[in-house]
Amino acid sequence: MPRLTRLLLLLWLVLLPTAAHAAIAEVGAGSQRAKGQFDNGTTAGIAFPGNVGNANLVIAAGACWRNTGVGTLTVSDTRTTAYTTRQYFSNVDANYMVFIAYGVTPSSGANTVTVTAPNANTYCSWGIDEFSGVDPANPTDVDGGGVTTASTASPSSTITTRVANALIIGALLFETTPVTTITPGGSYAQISEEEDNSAHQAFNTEFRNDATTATTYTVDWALSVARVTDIYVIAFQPTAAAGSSRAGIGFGVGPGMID
Amino acid sequence: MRALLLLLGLLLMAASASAAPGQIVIPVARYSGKAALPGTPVIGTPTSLRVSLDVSDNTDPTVAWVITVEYSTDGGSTWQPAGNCARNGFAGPVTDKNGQVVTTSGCAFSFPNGANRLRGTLQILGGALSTLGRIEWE
Repeated sequence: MPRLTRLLLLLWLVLLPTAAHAAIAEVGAGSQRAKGQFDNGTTAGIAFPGNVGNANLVIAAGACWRNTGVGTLTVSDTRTTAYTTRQYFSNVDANYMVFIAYGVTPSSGANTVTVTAPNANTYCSWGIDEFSGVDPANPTDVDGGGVTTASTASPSSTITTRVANALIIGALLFETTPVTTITPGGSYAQISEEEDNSAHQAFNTEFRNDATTATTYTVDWALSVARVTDIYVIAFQPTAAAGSSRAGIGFGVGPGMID
Repeated sequence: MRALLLLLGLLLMAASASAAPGQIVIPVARYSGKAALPGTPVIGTPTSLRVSLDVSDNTDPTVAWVITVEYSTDGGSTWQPAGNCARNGFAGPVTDKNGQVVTTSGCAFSFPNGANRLRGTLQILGGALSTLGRIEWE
């Protein structure tokens, strides 16, 4: 083998692990997290604490309740990001709904994210956050869909990622009363939570960006009281430069879910 | 005497570092068009911001209200959006999950970092609305 070829091969081997471990990052290490809600309302907008970057993943995830069903939410922002909104209506009480909405910013700057319900008497609460390093053209790795759990103090779901270095986001919902403390699973960081939204829906959103291997991950929380919960989970894939292997988008739309 | 003054100073510093509740009152009136809600200083470091409005008269589906909240970090020279909320009129009583009639509407946001002044607007679309409410923080 020529000396130059051997040198290039060695250089490639040295650089490979660095590239494979380049994870998706939460912008500002949490400083872009914010929370919003509306009670007996139609819509509310929350401003990101700082300017968002261009081509970053922005998410709005939380939960809603309405006495005769929530309907289809609309999520938008002042940067004109195109959002994909996934909703899961509880199998136990379809008036409760958990959601994750996401999009890739078309430009940088100040940004207010607005969640709008189709009916005036709706209760919603959610958190927003921003991540860099997500594939802007094809952000979704796997849509893990929604599940309703039995009553438990350790609610969880699972998701099987298809690429290395995926970002996993989970959203949890349950009915408040009694007010219940929510703790993210040990491998997760909390984005936002509301433990008592006017005594209607409680939610918690969490993420992990250390899913270095394409495998099955548990998405879990700990509650102070056993509850019936609803969970929605999505995994996002890194830019081509950061991921060591890539696959087509996984998709699973289950019962009660709408796009 | 010096020790007493030092203790008093420390107590004042501790008091100023904590969150002091504050509010902008939306006085009872019949509103139409856009009403400015005056800029109000923020004392301390609040963590939550909440808007509430009486919606007893908000029963006409063609009449909506929008409340926008802005904050300043430089005493009112420049302003940025903190958040907003809106509600379309809804005919008939609204009940909560316990079946109780609800006559207020509102929203809440994370308190904007570094805000030392807040202001807002109440806008009525499609007609007029008799109401009252507040923007409050703590």
